[in-house]
Amino acid sequence: MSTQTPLLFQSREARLAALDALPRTLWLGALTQAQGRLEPRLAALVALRSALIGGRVPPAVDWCWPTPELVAALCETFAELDLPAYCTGRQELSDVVVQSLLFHLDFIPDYRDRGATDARAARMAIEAFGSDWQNRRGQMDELMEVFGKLPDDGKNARWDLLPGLLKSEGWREVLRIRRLLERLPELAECIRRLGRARPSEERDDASRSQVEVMDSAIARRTEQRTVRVPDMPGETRGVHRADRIARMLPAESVLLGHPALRLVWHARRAERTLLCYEDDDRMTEVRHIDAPVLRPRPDPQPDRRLEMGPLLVCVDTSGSMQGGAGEVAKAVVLEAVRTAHTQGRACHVFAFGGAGEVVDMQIGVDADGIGRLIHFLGQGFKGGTDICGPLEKSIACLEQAAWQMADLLIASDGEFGATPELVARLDDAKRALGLRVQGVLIGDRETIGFLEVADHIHPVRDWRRYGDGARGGDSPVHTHRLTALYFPGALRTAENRDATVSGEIASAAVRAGLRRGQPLPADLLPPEPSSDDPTS
Amino acid sequence: MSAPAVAADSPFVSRLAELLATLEHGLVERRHVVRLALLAALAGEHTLLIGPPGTAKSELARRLHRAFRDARYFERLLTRFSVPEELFGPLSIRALEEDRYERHTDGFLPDATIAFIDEVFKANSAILNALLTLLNEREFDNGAGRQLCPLVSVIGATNEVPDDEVGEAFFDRFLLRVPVGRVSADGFAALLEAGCADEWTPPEEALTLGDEDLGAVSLAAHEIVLPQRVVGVLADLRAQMVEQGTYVSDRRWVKTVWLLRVAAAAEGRAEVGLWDLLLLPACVAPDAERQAEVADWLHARLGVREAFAPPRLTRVVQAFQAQLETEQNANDLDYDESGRLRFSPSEAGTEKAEELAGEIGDAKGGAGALRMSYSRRRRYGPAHIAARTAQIDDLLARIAAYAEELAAERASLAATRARTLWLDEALLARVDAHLAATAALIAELAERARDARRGFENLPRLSADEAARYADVPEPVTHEPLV
Repeated sequence: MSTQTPLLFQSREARLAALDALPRTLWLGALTQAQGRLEPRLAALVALRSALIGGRVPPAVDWCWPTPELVAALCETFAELDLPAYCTGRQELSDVVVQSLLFHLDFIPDYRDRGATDARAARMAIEAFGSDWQNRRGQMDELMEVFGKLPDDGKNARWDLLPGLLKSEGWREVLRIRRLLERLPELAECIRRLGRARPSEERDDASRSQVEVMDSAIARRTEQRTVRVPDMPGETRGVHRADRIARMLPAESVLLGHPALRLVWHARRAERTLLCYEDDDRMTEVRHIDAPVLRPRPDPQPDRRLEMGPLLVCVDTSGSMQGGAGEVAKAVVLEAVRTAHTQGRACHVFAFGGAGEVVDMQIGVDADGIGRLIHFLGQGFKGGTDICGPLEKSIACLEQAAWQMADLLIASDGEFGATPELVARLDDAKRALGLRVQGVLIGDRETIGFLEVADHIHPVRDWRRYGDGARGGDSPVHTHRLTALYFPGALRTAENRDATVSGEIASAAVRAGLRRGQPLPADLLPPEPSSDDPTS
Repeated sequence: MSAPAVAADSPFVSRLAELLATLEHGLVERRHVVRLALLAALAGEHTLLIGPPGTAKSELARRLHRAFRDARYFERLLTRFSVPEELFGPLSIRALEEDRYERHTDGFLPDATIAFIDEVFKANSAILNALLTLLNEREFDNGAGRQLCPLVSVIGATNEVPDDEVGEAFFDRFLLRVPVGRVSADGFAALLEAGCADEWTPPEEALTLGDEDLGAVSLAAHEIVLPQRVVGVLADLRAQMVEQGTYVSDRRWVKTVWLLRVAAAAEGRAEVGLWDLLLLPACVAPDAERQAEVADWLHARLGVREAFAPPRLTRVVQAFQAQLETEQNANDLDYDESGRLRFSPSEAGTEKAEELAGEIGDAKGGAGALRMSYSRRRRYGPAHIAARTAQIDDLLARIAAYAEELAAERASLAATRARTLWLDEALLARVDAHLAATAALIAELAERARDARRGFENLPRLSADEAARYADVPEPVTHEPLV
């Protein structure tokens, strides 16, 4: 049973009801606060908090706490700092504002203990509150500029750690890369489209799935019911009124022997009110009925393109990425983190250099995550290029339930090659999970390695511009599809595999003295993948 | 006529108490059932006793009829084969000869004041309609006319309640549905003892209730005030039962309130009390399980289900304790007169060093060296402490108000216990124990608040010259900017 508040103490407890409307974090401050009395204070805090979340400050006349002078000064400070605008729709941030207000007001008696007059103590508290939020407002502005919105939307913002991070040299670097991003809008678009967690508005003609369409049809079904069959002999259930002489109680037949009561008996029989034994005259019956039913019919319909979900990003940090390419790679990471943050998605970054040099970071936007991001974006590029490590880690990641819906983004100059086994594993993942691999090409032309791994390649044409000295300009080549254009046979595509024979088979054919067009003997035929004539 | 029944110390009330004592004499653990049945009879309602065979259900009914002066008693066991003649009397042959179709109702149910119908759900269709009308309207269709029946109360008994329509209709006729269980393990010895005690003697003529007494109670019940608090709880209970999907008809609510009024009137009170609501479960819930649910809800609503500390008040007290702890452990940077950091020995530092020394083996005796710290316990001035104690004084006043309300509640319960005829004594004893425990919790809260107040008063104090020093904190040293 649902519990209601006990009647005992109900009215007294109800006076403290505002406590339930306040979040737990404010209880201590609100209850022990030195200013004013408890009930008006609680009411005022609830009103202030909900007004802040709604983006305004209650008018000075509506505050029932603390003193009118303090209220006037507070309203002024709130307006000056434009705090309501920051708090709009942000519960946690509003809570932090109210909490800090309580904290500062609580210091008024302490200022007085240290010799300040009443007016001066109040002014000191308000000033401390104002300067506190002046600082934080600046930090919020910077964070919002970089990440699109506040870390965790103002929740658990570790205000103690963030200021230090935001003053660091690395943060300047982050701000610089953020500005770089403004010149690369197509990059943002590409990252936004990653993931498969939910259908977008676009149609995806590549995949169609079976949808059940309901058709109406006539079907026969059976139904069981109990029917009454009057006078059917059965077990005796009790006594009832009827006119059945055969089932009449003996007491009724006595009436027949009396001259006057005979008439009663006949009257009762005529009125069907003779007391008779009642039989259990019910039986179950099975009926067949034809009724319209809805019958499902499969119908193929194009799916909608999937988007959102977690992000997996592999970033090339090899030596060849130094300069402009490296800047673009950093921008990719920052944009991935930004996108993940604003859209509430998880984000995992693998930075890969030479063999075994994989940095594996899960970056959320909180004090720790920002610290990691600053560190990563501040570092230089060196070492070789080994794509296998990060790819293996990404595939391992995809096998976990939380990352199933992720797509993979590879940002690189393309100077790598994956082993055939790994490419096969990646292809398996694409088939089984629907994984899509997007490539961001920060180089002049794609390589076979890149083509084999990525489904789509987005070239960043003018990557040279983003280097330190901003030397050079656009890519010197007319197209990024050089490799695909001029060496199509070098790719490990399915057609290419089917169209060629392996080294052993070819040499066996030569040994057997076969010529072009002649069929191979059965023992030389490759077992898989097809039985097509391999020499055609 | 109402005058004797209204006054609390009227002879009627004491007569009723004596009557009840006589009625339940020799019965083990049937006190509550006897009282409910008599209350229902006073209110002109019917009682259904639900319980296994051999739980003194018929004995109860037989005793009850002796409580009424000149009461005609009728008792019948129904079976599937019972015929109307058994309940309503035989057909009158003489009347038939005069062309009238009438029954001889003398000595049968239409003629009874108190009736006991055992296995009441076995009534068949031949009996059913007449019986339902009789219970509801206290009238019997006999021949061409309707016969007014003197029926005061029917005690029905059954082993279990069937869930068909006939059952429903019957079930709703009984305002009180009282589960009667076997005697508990504790009462077993008393039961065996009672078995060989003397024959039960019916109450004396002077004690028994006559028509004028019933009329007086009914008249007084009309005058009984139904306070807003009681109405509020009833409305909440109704909403709660709707939510639970238990249907209680509007008629039943009306009759229930009438029963509460009669209970109050018979005790000589002027209004329905909050504690009277403890009678509700038997009126509104059909079976033992749901009655227990309603009782549970009711106790929770009245705040007597268990001892509880009012949660919001507790939070306020906890907040002050937490704040005190924070302030006791707070540290300040330790400056000297010239505004430089001063190093002072710290206990915590020494402790930590000794701990570490124990772990690593302190060959050089480093742990013995004096540890320094630049922080010291924060000190507080009079304004700070006054602000805190003022808040706690406010809290203490608040707690006192709670204690006052509780004391009033306990006083009202004690008064009810002293005079109640209808409520279950064991239940009231439990309620009182819970209230007492709640009072202890409130007292503990007050004690904790006072502790916190002492704690704030004993915070390290800021000395006068220190305060003066803080007042003008040295200006930061200005220096030439580096070029």
